[in-house]
Amino acid sequence: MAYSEKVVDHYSAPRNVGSFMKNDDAVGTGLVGAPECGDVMKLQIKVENDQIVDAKFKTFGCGSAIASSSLATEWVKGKTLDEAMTIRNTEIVEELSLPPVKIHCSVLAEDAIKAAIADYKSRSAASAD
Amino acid sequence: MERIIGIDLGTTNSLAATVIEDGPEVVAPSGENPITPSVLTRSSGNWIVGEAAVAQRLTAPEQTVYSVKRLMGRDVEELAEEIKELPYAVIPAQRKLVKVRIGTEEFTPQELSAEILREVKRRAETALDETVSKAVITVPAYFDDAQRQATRAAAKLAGLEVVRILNEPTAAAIAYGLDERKDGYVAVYDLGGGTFDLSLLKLSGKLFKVIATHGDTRLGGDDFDRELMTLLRERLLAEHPEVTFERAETQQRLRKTAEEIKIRLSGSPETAYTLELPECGIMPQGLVTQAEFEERIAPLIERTLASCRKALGAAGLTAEQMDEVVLVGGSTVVPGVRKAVERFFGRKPHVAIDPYKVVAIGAGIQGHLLAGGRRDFLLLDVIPLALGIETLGGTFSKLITANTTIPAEVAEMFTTNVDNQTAIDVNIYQGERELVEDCRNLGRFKLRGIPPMPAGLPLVEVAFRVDANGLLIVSAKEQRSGTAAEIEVIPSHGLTQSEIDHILEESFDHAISDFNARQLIEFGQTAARMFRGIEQCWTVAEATLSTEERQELRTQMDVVRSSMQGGDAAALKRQIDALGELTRPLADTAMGRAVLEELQIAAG
Amino acid sequence: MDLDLLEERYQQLTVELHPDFYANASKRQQQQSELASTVLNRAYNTLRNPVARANDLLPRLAQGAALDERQLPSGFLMEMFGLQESLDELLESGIPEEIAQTRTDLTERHATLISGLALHFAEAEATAPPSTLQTLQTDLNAERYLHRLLERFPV
Ligand code: FES
Repeated sequence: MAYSEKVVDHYSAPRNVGSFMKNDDAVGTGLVGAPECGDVMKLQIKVENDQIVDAKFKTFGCGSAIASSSLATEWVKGKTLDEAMTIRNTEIVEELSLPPVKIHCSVLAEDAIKAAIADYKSRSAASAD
Repeated sequence: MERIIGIDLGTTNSLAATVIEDGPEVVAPSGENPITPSVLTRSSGNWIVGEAAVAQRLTAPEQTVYSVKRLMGRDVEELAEEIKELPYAVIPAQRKLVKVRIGTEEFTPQELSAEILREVKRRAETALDETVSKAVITVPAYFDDAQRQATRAAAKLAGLEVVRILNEPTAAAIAYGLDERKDGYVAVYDLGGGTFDLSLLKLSGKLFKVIATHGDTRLGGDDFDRELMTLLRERLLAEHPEVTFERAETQQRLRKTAEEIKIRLSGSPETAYTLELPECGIMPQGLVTQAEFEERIAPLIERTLASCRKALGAAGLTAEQMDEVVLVGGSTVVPGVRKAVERFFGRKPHVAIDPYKVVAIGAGIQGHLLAGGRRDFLLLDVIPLALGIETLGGTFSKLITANTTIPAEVAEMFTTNVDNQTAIDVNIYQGERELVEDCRNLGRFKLRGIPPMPAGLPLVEVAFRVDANGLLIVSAKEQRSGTAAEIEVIPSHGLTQSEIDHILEESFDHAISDFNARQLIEFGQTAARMFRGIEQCWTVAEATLSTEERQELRTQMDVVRSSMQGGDAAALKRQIDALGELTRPLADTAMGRAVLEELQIAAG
Repeated sequence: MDLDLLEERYQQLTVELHPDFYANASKRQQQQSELASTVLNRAYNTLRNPVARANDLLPRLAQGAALDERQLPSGFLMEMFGLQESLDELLESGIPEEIAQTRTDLTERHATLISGLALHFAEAEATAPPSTLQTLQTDLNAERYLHRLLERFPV
């Protein structure tokens, strides 16, 4: 199967691998799993004034999941929370040319972004109280 | 019912078996050794195969090919180690094929194996007095798809239709199972000249089911020889540091002595040897004990036991649960091997059936079943290594896992990356490792004829099917349009159909001259035997034949001799027959009969 | 599930259908036997494996009722992620005893989950309350994560 160069690149040299301190109020953590295969992914965002300034991830999963999350962290950086919410897994599929069997891996990345944003929002809401 | 014979195409020896009225039997022309050594030698543009070629290993090492099975379906890189030690030249060829070069000629391993098969077929035909065109051919259970395809191509070149490719340990299990008719778990430990397999079977009633298999296609008795060769070389160098081993001859003498030592050590605790090296002007002697030999081969035996552990692990069984352990393959006569197997399984192995013949016999029985001769057992085999495709980042994604009962099928969806793309490349691998670089590339599958659509829209369902021969068949269908996408298989290691056809065409041209040449050699051998017989019972001739008759006999012998110099096999045969006619009165006397029978002359 | 009965039926059918007994039949019959045997083998493998069987059975029992295919026991994902991370370290450290111990623990947990499936199925077949079906689905979801963890251990 001819994978696009981009996927191979994101897979062999994934960007932004790692973690932020979880209880930092500026950090939102999304932890998601793919029921199709049992892979898990953690994606974290660091937010300043509603804007995502940095992102990190750690994925225990297949190559496509790693490439998807690597790409997702690149994309969210510099975006506002609302903008980041609009990222769709189909865009990841397109960018990385993922085959049908690997669609769920991109879904994992989209879910992780959403989960991270939700986590950040609920934390900031809590600390605002 | 058309006969389907069983052929054990071995690294060192090959033989055929079939079911006759009395049951399964190895087949060979009467009085001859049923085993055909898997050795062939090239002499003035013709092949000599089997026993007659064995001696040529010493005298014409560069023209004499053995262990060709090790080359089947493999490439130069994989064979680096083997090639270093082979006295004949192995060179890279198109795609990932290798060829053997003899003088100015080049041959694929498939063609060489075909020569061996042709000889086995010919001998079977002589023995059965009928033409044989269908066969069950055995391969090591751990052979991958490329190696199986190569074997099938070889048979095709030899003019044999392969009705079934059968795993060697499984063939042995058939012979054993039908012999014993006992239910339970059976482990078949198969150590041949160049390959090792361990298969676990469950026998219940008429069903013989393989549950797991593991092996090593590069481990066998040849490696035992190599250990002994190293021992001899070390000793020789200690005494004669000036000796070099560059000459193919020296290597072959070492090998031959090593083989002899190995064989003798199977029967006695120690053995003396004399290494004749006329080309070096020395003749060193020495002694090898069984203990020394066992120490040398211990790591090799341990490798076989590691395979046993893996197979048991895959089946979720323990060594103690085995109800029987069956030994197969010539190398299991080595006492060190028997001891190790007995220790591992905690029971005495079963050796009731000749380990040299059991595989061929099992194949013969399976052939009988396939021909419709019986329905009293059924063998269910498995795929030895997982099959899958390359996915992202060079990882191997398994579609059919190892030890799946065959026939089996799995379908997978593929789509396009670019708008209006009409073809997709899929890389197929076989193996048990995580990364494709550690697995065997079986070939590239090109899906063509996909209707032009936006990227990602076409859904091509590709079905990977493993048939009852353990061979992979791929087919594809585009789901949205319903068109069948065409699949073209580009084998990485094998011959394409057109290459096989080409070789067949060429060999047909040669067939007639080849046939004549082979007959000339054979008739020559027959004549030589007859001459010896006649000389030996000349006293009888003097007593029973008149002077004229004796004169006639002498004259005919001269005619045969001069006919042997000519190139016409049919003419030679006629003269030999005439000579046989003249010896008939000799054969009628008791003494003459004894001598002639001894020499296996079919007088009359 | 009566495994002995399964074995018996499989044997009967395979003896009827196997291509070995059709080697002399027409091309069409040969193909049919090859196809039928393939299907039979697949069915047998699904039925024999409790997880595959459960995955196959559940949608049938649910009869179109929507089950949440993502639901997991609470805190489960977090735990799995933690286990994956510590497994990274553990495998790198290469201490065989600890690796073996962790593996045994996980294998046991996996086995317990699987044997629990059978009980739930018995219940579901008798009364089919939606909650039992969802419990089954959740367990099956969780099974994949455990399976994935177990896959990481070297053989
Ligand atoms: S296969 Fe699990 S995320 Fe890709």
